[in-house]
Amino acid sequence: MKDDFRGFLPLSPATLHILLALAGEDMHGYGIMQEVSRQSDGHYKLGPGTLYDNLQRLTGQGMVQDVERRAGDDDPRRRYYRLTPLGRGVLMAEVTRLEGVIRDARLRAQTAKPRRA
Amino acid sequence: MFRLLYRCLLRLHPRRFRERFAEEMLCIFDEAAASRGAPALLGDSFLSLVRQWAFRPAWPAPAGAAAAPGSDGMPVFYTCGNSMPRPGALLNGMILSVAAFGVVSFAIGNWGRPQLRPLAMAGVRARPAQASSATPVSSPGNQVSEAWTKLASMFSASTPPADVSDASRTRTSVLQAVESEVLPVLGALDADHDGSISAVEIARAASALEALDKNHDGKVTPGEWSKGAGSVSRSVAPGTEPLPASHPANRSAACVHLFAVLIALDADLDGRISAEEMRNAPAALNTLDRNKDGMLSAAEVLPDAVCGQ
Repeated sequence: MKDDFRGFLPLSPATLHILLALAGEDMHGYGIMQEVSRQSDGHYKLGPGTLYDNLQRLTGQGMVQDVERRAGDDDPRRRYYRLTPLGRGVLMAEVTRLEGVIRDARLRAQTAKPRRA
Repeated sequence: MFRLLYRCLLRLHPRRFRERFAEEMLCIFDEAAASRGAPALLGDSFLSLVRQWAFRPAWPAPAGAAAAPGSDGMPVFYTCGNSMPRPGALLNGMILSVAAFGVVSFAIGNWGRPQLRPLAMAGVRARPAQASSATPVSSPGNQVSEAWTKLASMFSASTPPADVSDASRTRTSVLQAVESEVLPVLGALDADHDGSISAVEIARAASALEALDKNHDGKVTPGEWSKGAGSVSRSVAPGTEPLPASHPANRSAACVHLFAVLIALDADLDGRISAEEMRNAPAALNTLDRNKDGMLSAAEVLPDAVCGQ
């Protein structure tokens, strides 16, 4: 894991979901909200305020960037966002970290000894 | 209206955040208000507002940005002193605090009244009965027991009765009417002042009401039992002309029809308790005994029972 990415970990749930949503394709804000809801089966819903607060921070940190408005988009107010290479690297670093956590958790669960009363 | 409120909240965000994201947030509001609900989006915007002012004082610097060298080639480092809040931020924060206080006060004032009303009324204390200097000290009509005044303070009509001619009577006025019109009668009937009218006291109701007949004309008028009407000290001699309509005693007659106990006693609803009605008082009071326990409790004689009918 690169040291550059390690400094951003661990990611907050909102940041993780936003980066995951952008990992597939460029999206506008409402699209990110809908994708996050879909990823979490409706259990985690981002409000616009939380979304753009995170986008502001991620944009400042260089993990997300604005892209030009897509041709044919109905609403001119929409802006699209794209995951940068830094953002993609941080996302993969977080996924690797979570995989390690899950692996350790399963190992401990299988070898757990009954505690003495 | 929700959209207007949302725009106002966006307007209160820091300038940089507002210029960058306000249009997009408003676009999302237009799309998501139907599915997520405008109130939820308003709440999210309010939290965003607090977050931006409390935790995001400045636009974060891009990653990897090196400190710009000074004029002499040495890098320039910024201290904490440069991160002090801007005067504009302090002013906006103060405006936000005032706005939040106003919203909460408005909400409590308009939507919290039903919940706060019992608390407000618990602080209302009926004035203790004051014996008039012109009436005998031993007159039971003016001895309103503390038990009844305490109970009466808990009974405030939720809405002014519809049959009151004076449309401007407020809830406070109804409580005052209870105090002046009903409590003296209940005080006379409740000989032991225990806050209820027992079976024995019901049986003796006729003699208790006769004690209220100060001018001994065979009937009890609101002017004789009403407290604070100003006419208690003015005995109306038999055979005199009726009091003018503007007299406080006659005004209080309108309240007779508000209260169950007075309605029961004044069978012909003429605003007076005649001698025959006094004789029939025990039977009339027994009609108020809804739970048939032989006695009358506060709930059976005080105004809420009337307003709820």
